[in-house]
Amino acid sequence: MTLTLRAVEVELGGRPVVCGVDLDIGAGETVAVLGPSGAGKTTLLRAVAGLTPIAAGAMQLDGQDLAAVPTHRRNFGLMFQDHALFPHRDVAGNVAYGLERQGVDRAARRSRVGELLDAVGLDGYQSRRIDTLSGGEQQRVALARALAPRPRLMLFDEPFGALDRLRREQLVADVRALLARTGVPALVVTHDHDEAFALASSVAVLRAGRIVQQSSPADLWRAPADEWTARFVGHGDAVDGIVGGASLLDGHRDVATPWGDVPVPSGAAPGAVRVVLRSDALSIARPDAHARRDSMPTLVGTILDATFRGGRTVARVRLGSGPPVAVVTDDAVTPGETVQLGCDPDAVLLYRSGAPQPASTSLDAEPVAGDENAQ
Amino acid sequence: MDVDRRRLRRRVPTPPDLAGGAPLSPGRGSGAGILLGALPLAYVGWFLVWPLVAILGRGLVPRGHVQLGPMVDVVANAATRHVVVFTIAQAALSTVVTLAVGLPAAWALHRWQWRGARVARALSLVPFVLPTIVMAAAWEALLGPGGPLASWTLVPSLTAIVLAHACFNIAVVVRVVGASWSRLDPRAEDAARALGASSFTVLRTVTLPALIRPLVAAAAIVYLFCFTSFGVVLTLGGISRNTIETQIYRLTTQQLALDRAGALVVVQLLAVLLTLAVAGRAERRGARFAIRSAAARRRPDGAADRVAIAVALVPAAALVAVPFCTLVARSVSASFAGYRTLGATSDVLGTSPLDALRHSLAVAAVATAIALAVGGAASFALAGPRRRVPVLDAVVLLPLGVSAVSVGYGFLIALDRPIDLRASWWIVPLAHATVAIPFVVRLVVPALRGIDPKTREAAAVLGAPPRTVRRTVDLPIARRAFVTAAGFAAAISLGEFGATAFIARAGAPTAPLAIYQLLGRPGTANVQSAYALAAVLAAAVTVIMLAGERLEGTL
Amino acid sequence: MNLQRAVAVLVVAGSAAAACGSSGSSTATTATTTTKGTTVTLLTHDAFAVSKPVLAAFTAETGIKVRVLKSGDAGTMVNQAILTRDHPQADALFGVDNTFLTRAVDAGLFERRSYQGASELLPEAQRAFAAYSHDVLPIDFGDVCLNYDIDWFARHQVAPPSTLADLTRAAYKNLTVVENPATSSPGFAFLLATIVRYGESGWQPYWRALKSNGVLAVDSWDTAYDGDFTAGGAKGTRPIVVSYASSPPADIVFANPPKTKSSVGVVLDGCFRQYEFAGVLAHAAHAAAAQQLVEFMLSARFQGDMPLQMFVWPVRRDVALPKVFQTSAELAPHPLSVPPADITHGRDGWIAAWTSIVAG
Repeated sequence: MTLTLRAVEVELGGRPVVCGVDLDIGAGETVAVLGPSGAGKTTLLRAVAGLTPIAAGAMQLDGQDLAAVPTHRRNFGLMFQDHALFPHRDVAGNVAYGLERQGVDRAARRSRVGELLDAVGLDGYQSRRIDTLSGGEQQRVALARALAPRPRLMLFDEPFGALDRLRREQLVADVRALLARTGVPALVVTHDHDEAFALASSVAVLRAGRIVQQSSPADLWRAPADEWTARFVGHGDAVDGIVGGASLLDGHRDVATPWGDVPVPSGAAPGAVRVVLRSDALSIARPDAHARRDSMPTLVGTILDATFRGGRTVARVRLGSGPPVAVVTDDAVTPGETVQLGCDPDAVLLYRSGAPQPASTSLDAEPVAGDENAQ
Repeated sequence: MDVDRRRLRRRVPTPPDLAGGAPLSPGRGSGAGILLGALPLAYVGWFLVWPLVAILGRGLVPRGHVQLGPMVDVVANAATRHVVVFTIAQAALSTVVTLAVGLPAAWALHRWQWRGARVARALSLVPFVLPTIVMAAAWEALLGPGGPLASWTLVPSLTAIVLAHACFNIAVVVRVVGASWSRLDPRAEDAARALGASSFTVLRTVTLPALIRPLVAAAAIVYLFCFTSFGVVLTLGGISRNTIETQIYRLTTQQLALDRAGALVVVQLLAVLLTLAVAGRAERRGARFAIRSAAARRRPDGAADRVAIAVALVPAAALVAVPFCTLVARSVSASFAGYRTLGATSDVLGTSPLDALRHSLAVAAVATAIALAVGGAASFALAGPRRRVPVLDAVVLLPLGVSAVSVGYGFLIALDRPIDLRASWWIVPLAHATVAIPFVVRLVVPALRGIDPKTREAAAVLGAPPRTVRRTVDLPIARRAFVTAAGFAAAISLGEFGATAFIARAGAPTAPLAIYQLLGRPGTANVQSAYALAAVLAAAVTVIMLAGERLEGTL
Repeated sequence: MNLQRAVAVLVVAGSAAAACGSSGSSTATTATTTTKGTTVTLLTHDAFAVSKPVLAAFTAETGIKVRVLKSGDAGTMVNQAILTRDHPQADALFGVDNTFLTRAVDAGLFERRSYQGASELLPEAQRAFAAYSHDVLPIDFGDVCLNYDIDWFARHQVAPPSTLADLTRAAYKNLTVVENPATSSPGFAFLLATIVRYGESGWQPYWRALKSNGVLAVDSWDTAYDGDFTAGGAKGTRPIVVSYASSPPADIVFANPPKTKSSVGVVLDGCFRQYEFAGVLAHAAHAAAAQQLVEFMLSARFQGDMPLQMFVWPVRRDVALPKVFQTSAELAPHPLSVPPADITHGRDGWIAAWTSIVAG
């Protein structure tokens, strides 16, 4: 099963919402479309499901053109963020719905329902009413319901946004395992890069209806295609900088920024640039610690505050006249303390200057969950 | 781009992602979706618009020329003005009395939770679905010749009309206002009280303003029903008190003055539309107050509360109970003579009262099925996000404002082609269904609109084509609304009188017609039969409605 | 269940049922050459009645079955027939009276035919309606007269009224109930009687006097006679009522327990003579059979049956009246009448004037 999208365009009310999207999902592959709310990712997903017609382009599954295939004949699985379970059916009735449509007989339905509920950890829930389930349980029922008719493609719309962190991580792991076991290709749309990275082998970043980058989660994180994407996947603020000439001593180059002079990879071309510090770029250099060879303590900053998160400390540091930067450290720091920072030149991202980012593309740091769906 | 989007978002209330393609709106789909809109249009066109046009055409366009003379005459005519003024006056008076009696009852039934309140709430709905002729018979039994209050000589009188209208419509006030009252957040009232407001001041400054929307809605409905009232006015009003509807009846049947009747049909339609427009405006201007999703009813605390509740209930209870108890009492007089002869063929009817009741039940069953099918189809077409059939909503609500008498008469002259339905058994259920369709639509559309469109999309993705979605998702989820609508449709059919009077075949009357004919004929035996049949019919309608409520667990 | 299909089935079933319902008559249309085996439909008013054996005799004689379609009071029935003239629901009509006759004839309600048996009519009936002899046949007549409760007047030691003029006297204040001429045929007949008696200039003052003397007007004869009349079914409060000269025999026939003397008296002054007619409807599917039915109504057998069925007098001169009519019924010696054409011409104006005086 391979899904191929070529130059797909979708319009809503005459307004282009998805523009020229190319996307490939291979057999057994999970691809995430990552974008902020309003980027058109839900529209793209609905177009794939057949819930919204495409205005131009081609959409094929294993070479079969999908344009003429109505939703109910596509045999896809779809999981909504808010479940959209059938309130008038019990758990088993929900899971069996797609099987009934396929004309599967009662006995086979019952065994398939049991199998799926078992797989999502809800065995024995068959006759429970939907409104007696927790959010996580409802999500698992929705997953079982989508998978029951053995879909050719799974579609997830912000699948885990409504769940708390613990349940989310558990469910993400379960879904990944289930997808791997069944070999069903899957398309996930989400605004949450953690969710995208956890589920998908390939992530496409969608911005204003266009795919700006598609790569593996690691590559996307390591080398975002532009400043906007860098911010979107969680790196710091961008500042203006000027790359100077190579040092006569060791050939390394610096970029002059409001933070101070920051080392850049030796291949960087001189001139005006935009500079983003990847979230792993900076480290606190203690006098007694072994300085890393490639991150010489060149910057001096003041700790603004520190947050303990995930076993490590994330400190916000005032550095020169630039915006505060985040530094992860294992050591205890106190606000007001002056620290020396080492900087990994390979983790300093440089983008072309002179193409000013339109103000409208500014990101909400924390997009409202499901904004796109819940307007 | 994002800026544009936000501006758009503010301007367009529907979410672009949902409204845009939404191939799964309930009425959308292939040819079936178009049929959903076309079926109700065809039905209402065939069984309402066409008969109406036919009867209006005879009156206003005789021999192919439009004659506006009668129109002008009718408007300028002093007798017509008298009828219009009386129609408005009695409707306004009836509305005021209904509100005066109904509001305390709504407060007692919906603001408080006391032992038996649930049953009382369900019972409070019954008068509304009772046939108007039963209502008229009950008041006739109380106030008319031979009744306990005959000496007051209130039949015929405006007082009798207003009392019967109030009795009939209290249920509307209790239901519409009570439903909101029960969900009114009591903390606003508590806050006012804490600020030193007396109970009356709280009622005047906090509670009633918060209820302005349901109050206006209820008043508009009551006013409309009284405005177009037929059976009650005909029975209790005598010859000098005519509403537009009874005047249409008299002009059409007795004087064959189709021109003047047609002009009055137009006047009535315009008046109904005007009322709806004014009410809609007033309703929109009313404030929306904090409403809780669940009922917040208090338990009475101490004797004072109990006395207040009892006092609030007495007028409404008396208004409903006294005439009906009299009806039942008179129906069982002469040791159940009325009931013992129910099964015997009556000379007046050409059949037995019991057969009339059976006929009515069969008609009601068929009419309900048709109304649910056609009204359901219209609801599916209307519940879609886009107005795909723009005239549909106006057309399906048309029967509310159109004179039933005119439609009944129109049936006689219009339904002879392509197949002659006039002598057919089917003409009565077809007419009843036409009258019931607006009620079905009004009940079902909100239920369908309340279904999350994603539920339908989920079904479609799981392999359900549009009609399967309607069958397996919309219908079951909206089941409750359909059951309620079925109850209403059956009650309407069991009570319809204005149109049936013309189209029911002789020797096969419906129960309301039989009551009317028996009441108007010589002999105590006939009057006893009429009261007995009215009591049985009232019981049948009550059982049907309560069964519907029971079925859905609201009782 | 598939909604659209269900609806389609319902609608189609409805049409099919309707088609089945009317197929009997449409197939018969083609067989106009013979009337045997056809069913004629008789449109009539609610008060129509006939003994079963009489109708059975007609069917036995001619092979024609009769379906009776009752359709409200006389006025409503005639108006319905006029509205459905182009595609009538029936073949023959019985019950149009002289007050509605020209409206019906002018509307082209009846097919013009040559009826047999007109020579058997009472001479005055023959004379009065000769102009309509190709449209309709007179079938019966009766007098609309004031009735009074004999016992009530005896009890109150008041002399019962004997003329129309009496009703305006103080002695009869609040004692009279009449019917609305707009809705009741005896009510209209009584209005006509007052118009003939007092003339165009005098009838309105007469009614104003009646109004100020407390006359009660109600919608129907049933309401008046059985609701408000003291000798009627509900034992009302008014001992004088506008009704028929045949009320006494009806009072005796329907009495329970039986009695031999009626307690209803008739004022024979100021009565209006009402005739009822029958005719073949224009565009009738079974015109020939319908004509046989209309002529049968003038047969001695039907005419003899009528008085005790509908409490009317036969128009055939050779029919003997039943005993109870002979002993207790009397016709007005000088009934009032108006030519049918004048009635049609004046009706709406008279009723409007009456309404503004009495009901306004």
